[in-house]
Amino acid sequence: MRELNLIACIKSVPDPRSSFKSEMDPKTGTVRRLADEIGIPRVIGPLDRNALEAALRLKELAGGRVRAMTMDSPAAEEALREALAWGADEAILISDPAFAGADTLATARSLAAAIRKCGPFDMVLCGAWSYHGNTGQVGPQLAAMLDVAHIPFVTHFEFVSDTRVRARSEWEGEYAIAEAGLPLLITVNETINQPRHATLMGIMGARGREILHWDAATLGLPADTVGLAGSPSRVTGIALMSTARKKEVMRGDPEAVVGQLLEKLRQEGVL
Amino acid sequence: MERPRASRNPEAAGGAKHSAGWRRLLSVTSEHESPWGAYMEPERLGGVWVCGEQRLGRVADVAFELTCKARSLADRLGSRVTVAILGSHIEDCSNRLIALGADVVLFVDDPRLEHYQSDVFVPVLQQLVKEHEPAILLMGATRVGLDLAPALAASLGTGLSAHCVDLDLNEAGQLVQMVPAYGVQCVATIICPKSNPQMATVKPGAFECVPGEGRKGRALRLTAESAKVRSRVDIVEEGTVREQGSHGFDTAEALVVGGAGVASPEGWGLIGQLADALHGVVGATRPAVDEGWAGLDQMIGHSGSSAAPKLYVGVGVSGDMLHMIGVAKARVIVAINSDPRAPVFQQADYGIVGDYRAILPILVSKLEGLQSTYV
Repeated sequence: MRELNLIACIKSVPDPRSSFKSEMDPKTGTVRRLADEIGIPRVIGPLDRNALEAALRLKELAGGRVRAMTMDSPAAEEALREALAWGADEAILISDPAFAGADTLATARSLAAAIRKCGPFDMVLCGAWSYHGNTGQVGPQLAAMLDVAHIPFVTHFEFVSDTRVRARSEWEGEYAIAEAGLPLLITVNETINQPRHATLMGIMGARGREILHWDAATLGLPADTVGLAGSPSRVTGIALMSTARKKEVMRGDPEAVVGQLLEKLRQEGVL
Repeated sequence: MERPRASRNPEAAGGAKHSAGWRRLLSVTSEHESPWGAYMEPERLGGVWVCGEQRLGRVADVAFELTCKARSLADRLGSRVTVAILGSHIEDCSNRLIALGADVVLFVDDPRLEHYQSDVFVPVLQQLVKEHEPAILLMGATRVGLDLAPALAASLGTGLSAHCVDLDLNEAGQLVQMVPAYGVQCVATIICPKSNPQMATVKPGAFECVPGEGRKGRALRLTAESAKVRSRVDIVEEGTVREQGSHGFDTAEALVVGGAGVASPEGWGLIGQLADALHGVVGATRPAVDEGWAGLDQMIGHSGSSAAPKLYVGVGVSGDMLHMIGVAKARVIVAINSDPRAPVFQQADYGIVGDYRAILPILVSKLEGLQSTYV
């Protein structure tokens, strides 16, 4: 197999084992995450871990190079350092105050510019969705902008020749097996692999390694195409979901409250 | 009420090379015979569009739900509803779509649309959008919709929101898209003020199908004429992983869901016992799946299954929005949680504050007692 140029797009998230809060910025209408302020460590997002793992396994099989990139504030360096500790060859932080408030379209546009700057690639791997925004839109948007084939929701893939990939996608009880030539973008599901943990050697090795910082000027992106200015979508506010539920809360002796509950459920006719 | 389309951004150039033509195959039923001589009449349909797809022989339910919602939006905007269904040998569901509110149904029927591939579907829709300039374009948040919508939005350079749980209009006639906000017990509202179409994917089950009386509409079958449409992805095989609803989420009358608060594999056994006593099924929240207590296919909520049981019992469930939207249609919601401040109590009909390990055994034995009385 020939050597492969691989790119894993990741998003850093506050460590999901910690509790954190989000709040709206009333001025810009974007969701501000408070993790930076309260010092929760940033890690690679759940499905993005699978994407990076898949890229690294492919490199271990075929040889080549894995670049991990993210568009975020400088706090995301922690997650990129984790990627280096796992075995990524290069880490790129796409960061600029002008990128703030980007919707998925502006995010994909910035990532596409960074990928083009890296030169020709064989595969781009992304998580099928992120846990924060949860839209799952950036991968397909990126493929459209890079004008490459893409296969979503991949649970398994293999090379059928040096330049052709066969992949299985799964979503809500359906599956598809598809083939496509390189270059190719795939978004991966969490069942594709079991992501590794960094070894002590890896963590030591990643210390002091350079993380590339690319801003809007480096990427040649005009200010009105990035961040809030380049985003067609606007978050206008937060609304409470109208839940017309009875909200009757019972407490006390278990025997008694269970009796009350069963009486209510009988009256509702659901038993 | 319709606004001019914003100028296209540079990314749009990619799709132009696929400029497709349309050939009218036939009008579908005599009942709805089209007064149109040919499809390529200069009329611009505009208005509210729903795009559905036929997969594995049927049109997904969400297309019907969205048609009904599109009708109510279009009535407020004073515009039309167009439903475009893409596929090959598409079942004729025009009567149902028209009864639900479609003014025009376009079956884009072409052998190349048998399997979903974004390379083929995107230019077909791009062409329709270019010709008809819809103000709003809605799709289901299905496997196809979640892939097709972002690829199309990127090609058109317009905004898109994902997994909407509700839709509305503001005073300016802009589509207000409500998406679940992570870690927050509410929804974020999103608009797309400067470009059309305003696009959204919508969670299946978010809207009801209510047919109206005496509605009239037109149905047409079209084919994409351009031979240039060629996919870079070849589908080798497709099918269902499991029978839809093999966990019974679709049909179960009772659903017992365990969450992070169950906190042990032993406790998970009690969840199963309660489900058995209720003749129901077991579901899980994401933390419970992450802990390995339940399978990924048992996950209920935003990125899992939805259910509409008569009775939902959440045990050790915090009430995260991303889970609760999956059971929004349950008739009665019961929550059992030891934390009196758990947000789930605000979203439940009946809550019990207490340790589920004390409560569930009593509940199970009383339920079994009830049954033996009736038998």
